[in-house]
Amino acid sequence: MKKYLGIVVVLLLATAVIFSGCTNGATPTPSNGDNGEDAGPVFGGMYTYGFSGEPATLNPILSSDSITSGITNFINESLITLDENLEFAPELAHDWEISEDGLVLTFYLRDDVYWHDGEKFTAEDVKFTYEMILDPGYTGVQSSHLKFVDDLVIVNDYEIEIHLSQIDVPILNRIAAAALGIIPQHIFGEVEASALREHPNSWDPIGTGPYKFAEYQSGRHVVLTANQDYWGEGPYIETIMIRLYQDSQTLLSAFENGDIDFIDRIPVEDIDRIKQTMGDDVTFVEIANNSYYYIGLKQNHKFLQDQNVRQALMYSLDRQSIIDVVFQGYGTVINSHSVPFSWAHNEDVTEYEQDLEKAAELFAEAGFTKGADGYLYNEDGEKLEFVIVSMTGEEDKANVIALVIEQWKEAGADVKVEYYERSVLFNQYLDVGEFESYMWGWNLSVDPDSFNQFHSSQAKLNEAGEPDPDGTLVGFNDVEYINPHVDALLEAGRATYDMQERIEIYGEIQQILNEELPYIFLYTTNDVKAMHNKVKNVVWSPLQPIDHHVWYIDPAFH
Amino acid sequence: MAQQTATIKDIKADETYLKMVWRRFKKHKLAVISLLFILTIALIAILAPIISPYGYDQTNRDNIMSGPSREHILGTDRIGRDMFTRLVWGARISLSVGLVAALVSVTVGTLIGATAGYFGGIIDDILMRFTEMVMSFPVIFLLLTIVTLVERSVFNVMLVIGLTSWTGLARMVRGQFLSLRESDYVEAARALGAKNSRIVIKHMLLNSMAPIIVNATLQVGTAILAESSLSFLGLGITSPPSWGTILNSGRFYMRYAPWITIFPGLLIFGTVLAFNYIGDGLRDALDPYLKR
Amino acid sequence: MKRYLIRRFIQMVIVLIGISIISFLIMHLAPGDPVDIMAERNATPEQKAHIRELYGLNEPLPIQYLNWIGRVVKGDFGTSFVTGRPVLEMILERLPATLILNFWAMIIIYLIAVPVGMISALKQYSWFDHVVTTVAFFGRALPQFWFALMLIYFIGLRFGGVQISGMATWGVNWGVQPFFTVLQDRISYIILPLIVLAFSGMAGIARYMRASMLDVVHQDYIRTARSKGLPEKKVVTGHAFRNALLPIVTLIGFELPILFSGAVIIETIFSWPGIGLLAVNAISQQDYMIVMAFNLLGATMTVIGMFLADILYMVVDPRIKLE
Repeated sequence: MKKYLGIVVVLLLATAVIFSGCTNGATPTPSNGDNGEDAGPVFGGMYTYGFSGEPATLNPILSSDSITSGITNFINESLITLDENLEFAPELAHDWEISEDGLVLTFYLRDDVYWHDGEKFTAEDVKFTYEMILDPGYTGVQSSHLKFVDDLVIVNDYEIEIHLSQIDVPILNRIAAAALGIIPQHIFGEVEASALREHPNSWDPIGTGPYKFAEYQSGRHVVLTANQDYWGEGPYIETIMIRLYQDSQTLLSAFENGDIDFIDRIPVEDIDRIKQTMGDDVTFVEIANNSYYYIGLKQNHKFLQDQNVRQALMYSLDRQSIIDVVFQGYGTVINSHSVPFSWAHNEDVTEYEQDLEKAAELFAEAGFTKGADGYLYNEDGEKLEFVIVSMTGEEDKANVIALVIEQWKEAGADVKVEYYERSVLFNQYLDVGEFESYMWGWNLSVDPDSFNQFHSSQAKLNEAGEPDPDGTLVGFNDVEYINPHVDALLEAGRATYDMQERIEIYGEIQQILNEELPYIFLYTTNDVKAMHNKVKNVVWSPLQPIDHHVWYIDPAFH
Repeated sequence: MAQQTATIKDIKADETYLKMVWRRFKKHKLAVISLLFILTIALIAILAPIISPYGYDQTNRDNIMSGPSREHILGTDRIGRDMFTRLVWGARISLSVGLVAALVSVTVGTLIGATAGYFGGIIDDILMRFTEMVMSFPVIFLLLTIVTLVERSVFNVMLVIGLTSWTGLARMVRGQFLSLRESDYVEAARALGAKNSRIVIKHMLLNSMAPIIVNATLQVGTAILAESSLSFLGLGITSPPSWGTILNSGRFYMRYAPWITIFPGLLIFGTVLAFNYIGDGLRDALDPYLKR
Repeated sequence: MKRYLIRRFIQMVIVLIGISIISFLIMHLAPGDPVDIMAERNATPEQKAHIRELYGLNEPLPIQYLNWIGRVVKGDFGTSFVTGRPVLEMILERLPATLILNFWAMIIIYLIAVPVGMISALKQYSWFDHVVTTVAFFGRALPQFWFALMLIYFIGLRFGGVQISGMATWGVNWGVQPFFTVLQDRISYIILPLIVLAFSGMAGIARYMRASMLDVVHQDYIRTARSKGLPEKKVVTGHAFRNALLPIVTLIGFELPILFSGAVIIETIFSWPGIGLLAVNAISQQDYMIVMAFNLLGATMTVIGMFLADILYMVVDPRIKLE
């Protein structure tokens, strides 16, 4: 499911962020199932986990799917990384600093890092990787990550400066992501950016990370082995086996059979049963996904342009009941563009508990009254109706939509849903911004920035670059939400390093979005993950298990 | 199907053709039972709004994935919708997909086969090469590819299934026409100066009717199966759902709610089987000389 | 005969060209393209337009077609948009799994269906014949994927020794573990998909065999053999069986494409790592090059298979003279 979500919204400069653990009801705990006899890390053993699907590539800078980044994460490294508190931590760069004007980032690189083939890692590799992404022939999706990079200056072999054309606060977070993993210049140096995907080493990756690529068999597995010469601690696990399955159900049975040691998401229907049957051998961790789902409403639609209608639609829904039915309670209602565990989350927003009377009032204010058939009609006799477009093949979303439609019907709105194949949905609806409403979800990050979704420059623009319903959609503001004040706030939020100031800015944005409702904000889900107790010293960030190189396998299982 | 030696004697001179067909069809017990079965399903489908105790999208928060009970005789699905209701509505979709797709398939197949067989020569060559091309594609790839590409609607799914399944009939009709072309009465009609189209319609088409009708019947079953396979791969019809879609939606909860998967599967199985038996019965009944 | 073969061959080439055009057009006339799926919503509409241009997806269709077919003729099916790997390599690495499954399915089908069909014909209208006919009807009407799900539910989830996904346990290899350990492992994986394929495939062959046998039994030369006083056993095994098998032999031509595309859905259900899975994924990702290659290869095999069937028929049955 996660891989269907998409964008990594701009991240934050999190130095000041204190991430004290967690989320409502979801408290990741370290999986120390040990019983005191633990003698500390021992080298050896195998750790297996699985994905449902296939990696699209094994080149980090070409990845756009979670499977690819889930694998390259072991092999390639970025300049910096996020630690278990989601704060920046050194990786290939042991230190970094930001110039006073905020326009130059200097990274001091480790001088003891070697590529898996024995070559030395230097600043040239960093420059090469970033320039590859900025090349006009580059076919991946990461170029926007480095959008404001003006120049890359190598000071010496182990020092590099990134010059920005404007302050881009969230860039450090993007640099920390697996998708900006550094690739070796001595391997890819000769290849055109447009042919990078076809390069043999895009399937036979060479990195600097704790694990080396060993084998890929399509439809079966990817095998990684320990990099004995790793610059950091570990790795202690000898072999990492990543199995590939066709769907979530076979993945689950593999976990039950003991074929894999870790499962990223137990289907909600199965959680209770698995907890019962496997509770002794595995540790369960419930983690809130950093993503949310919504129904985007076209802001210039003849009915939906009325804020009263949008608010009435919100009051018509019992979103908690939808979570209870579809996700068996593993989720949280959201009321704006933010998830509850975000540092910028603003609790001070309208909660829109279901209130059919209030909804009826608001509909009435918008000029809609119930007709004999139970549906709402305006003065011109037009029925309140519109269509949600969504993607085929996603059972959960389809169930949510069915429930939403049913609740809206009770309130008098006649809403239909149409399902389209992914490429049709993008090509004819979302990417051209042609719809009345649509259901989708955003993958967020710790940064609350939502420039791409709500800034007017990301909507449909005409030749002159002004918002225009007849123009071409540029970014993700497909609902065409235009609010100059929000524009200003979004710009300000990107340009200041002051934490407190940012919290206030994004708090205000959330309040405005919560009131004006470009989206019907729905829910965020929690995943129950499970790790076999034989895997020791697992480090959990609030989002996922990290730092594989310090994990080890209980010697009894070697 | 196997009674050919017995049945040839079975022709009574004073009987109309239709009467004879019915009399002979009745002898095929399974076919008659099947016909009754299909008629029942069709009636249920037509009366869906009256029969169904709930709305097909109506959920019941207190009965999520509950087994068959007095309230929900076939249980409920993942979000508490009544299975019986959904299957009743599903009958509408699945049956109409089967019928329309078969109609499309038979129309196209007959037209192409008849044209090729009647005119022969270069027209025949072109049409038959085209038929071979379409026939050569593995049906499932072709179906999947096209369905992925066109807008998903009941009508498109029908059309695609119909347009990928006409080749067998086209070849058969062509064969019939080729042999009929040389037959005495067409020659005779020609000699009497009948126009081309009249010859075709009156003699050849009527004489090919038996295999066409049998083929059409079997095609309905095949189309229902094809739609259910598409649904299984997530490419079927969703609202109101076809049987295949309902079946597929229960796939991942089989352990907890097997009825979501079992019942629609039984219905598909039974319906397709019934159409096959009817086709078999018709084959025996329509043409005493028709060889197996 | 020679003239017929040449004509038949020319026809085949024409059909193949047509197939290549159809394969190409289906993909390219469609809305959307792999960029939408590759980039999802990680790339803004603006970025996607740029990537599309890089891939030459904006060139005129006839040029794209000629480029493609020119390379295909040389055995180069292009590279996948999604993975960047050569399409042929991706197909070939998955072909063995598909061949293994379909090969064994076919062996079982013929081993059971041929004798069953034959006995059924010899004992026409017996209870055995009725059972066989009924089962064959069931086999034809049974939705394959539903049957598979039922097997998973009633057998796979209940019996530990039967696997419901994949084709082998990692690390259990021929030559490493004892023969029977490996054999047992492989069987535990293949058994369920094999049952599904065998059951649905058997119906047709058994009916075909039965009809063919009935045909032969009523032929003059069998009657002659009988009237000459040959013992029934000899008539059946010596004459009838051999002649009834002839049409079955020609079926081999038609089995060729089934080896390739016969198990798409079954592979999906059982996570069998064959080309079926690859095809379904490629289709849903609109990975042009792979889908075109699949359609083209599948269709080509059918055409060649039919050609072979024709020739085989002429070879095995000297009575048939074409033209």
